[in-house]
Amino acid sequence: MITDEENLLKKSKSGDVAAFEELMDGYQKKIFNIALRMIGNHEDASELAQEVLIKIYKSIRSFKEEAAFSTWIYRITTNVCLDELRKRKNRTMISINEEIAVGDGEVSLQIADHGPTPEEILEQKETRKIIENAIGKLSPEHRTVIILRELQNLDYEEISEITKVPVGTVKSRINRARQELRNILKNKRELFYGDFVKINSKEESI
Amino acid sequence: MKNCTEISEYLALYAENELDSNLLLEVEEHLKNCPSCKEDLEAIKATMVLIKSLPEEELPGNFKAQLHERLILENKKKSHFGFSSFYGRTIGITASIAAVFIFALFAKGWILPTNMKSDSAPEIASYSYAPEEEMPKVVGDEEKSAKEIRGEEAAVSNNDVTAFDQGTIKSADSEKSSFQSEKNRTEEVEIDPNAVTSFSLAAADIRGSTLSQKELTMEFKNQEQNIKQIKEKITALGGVIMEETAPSDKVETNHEQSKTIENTALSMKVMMINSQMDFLMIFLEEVVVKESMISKELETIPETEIEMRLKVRAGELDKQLQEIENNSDSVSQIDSVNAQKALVDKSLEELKKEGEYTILYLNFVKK
Repeated sequence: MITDEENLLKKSKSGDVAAFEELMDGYQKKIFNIALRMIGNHEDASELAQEVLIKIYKSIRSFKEEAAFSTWIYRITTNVCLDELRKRKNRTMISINEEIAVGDGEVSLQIADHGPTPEEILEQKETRKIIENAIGKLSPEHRTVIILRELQNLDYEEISEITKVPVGTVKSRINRARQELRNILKNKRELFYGDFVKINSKEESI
Repeated sequence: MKNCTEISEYLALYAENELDSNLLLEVEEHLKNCPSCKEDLEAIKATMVLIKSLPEEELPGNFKAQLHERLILENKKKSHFGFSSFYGRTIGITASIAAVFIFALFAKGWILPTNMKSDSAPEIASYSYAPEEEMPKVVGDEEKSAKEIRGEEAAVSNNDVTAFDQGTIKSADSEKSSFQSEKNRTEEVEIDPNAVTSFSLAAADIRGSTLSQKELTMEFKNQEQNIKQIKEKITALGGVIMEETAPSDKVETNHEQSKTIENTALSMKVMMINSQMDFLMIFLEEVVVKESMISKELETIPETEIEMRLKVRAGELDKQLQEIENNSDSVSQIDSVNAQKALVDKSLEELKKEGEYTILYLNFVKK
């Protein structure tokens, strides 16, 4: 059986832009969201996602169809993002030292910058910011596995293929990353009530 | 027994049911008696839900338009012939056939009087377009019955026969060898009455669309003569060029007037060559455009389906070949055809080489 994706893939390999755009239609949003969670702001994420897509277009002829197409796309996406993070490491991003030093006080300081009232914290937007900040505090490797696992819902084998590390390593990274997140969010008790309850019930109903 | 620190290593995996049975039992056992670890587990679960609650965000409004522009730009950077697919290769092959033909005619037209120019144009058209006109059939008749499909494939191989007769270029290409062998087999079907009767249905289709052995042999001979003629003309052309480039000696001894006349004649000839070249370039471009159109159409047929059909066809032909091979007479005929083919291939190689020399000469003359 020849699927639409295979057909479009073949056309894309011969340089057909329209076919490529159709092929990537379902992936563009995923790529953008991964970049967004890895980098942290919309503008840079958009630029990075474009970079990823151009890279895919340029190298699509070398895609050997040994791995799943989606795995290949995720790999390029995470690699481009990790490269970008590496480039930024010395400039703007949070250093690893800072991350290790993260305690309860520092997290609340971050929020204090915005001067939120308890009511505001309960707002979805603020909740989101806290979670986003928490993800931003993870190391690039931990961030990658958390994004792929929790936000893209990929299984351990897929993540192992994408990141090219053994499944065991993926598991321990995810485990560490979750523990870390738990520690970062520990004092945000308010997150675990109010809005969170709503989110929780919504999640479970899906 | 593991302590709390060790157990905490597994809690996140436990939360997702990702532990193997041994560890699972151990963690469960520990959780029964350890409220602190249980609380830990709940916190991890809650964190996971919290992270998962991050919504998927929409693409920025101008994202797709921006990407489109970049892709078009990227596409322009790519070469026109940069295809790697099966059909891409076919385009390349056909284009090179066209190029060689155009060159041969060009060389021919150049040494002949100007009135030959008008003759050479339709000649190019018939050579270059013949295979193209046949190919789309395969696309259009995709929905036809199996029997008819077999007929179509015969038409394709017939098309190959024609292409072969025209220039033998395809035979020079190893990629076409499978088609070649198929073609040989179809020829055999015609020369062996037994094969025709035992495979009457398929053979009838093939017979309808394939050249007979006799016709083929005649075509080979014609082609050989053509090549001989072209070779002679190229040799003559070499002589002409030698004469024309020689004047550098004469120029010194002759007076100003004859020098000017010679120069004018030479530059006129160069102009003629240039205009002919322009014409042929335009023509080649048209050919390339047509070919890319056809390749697009061809791509709508799944490659695996073509492969499947060809496999079925090859199976049939293999059977036919088995029977025919018992007939030594037809085998010797095959050998003679193959020998002729080799001969034509060889002359083509020589022709190509001479063609390259001619181009060098032309460049020299232009300077």
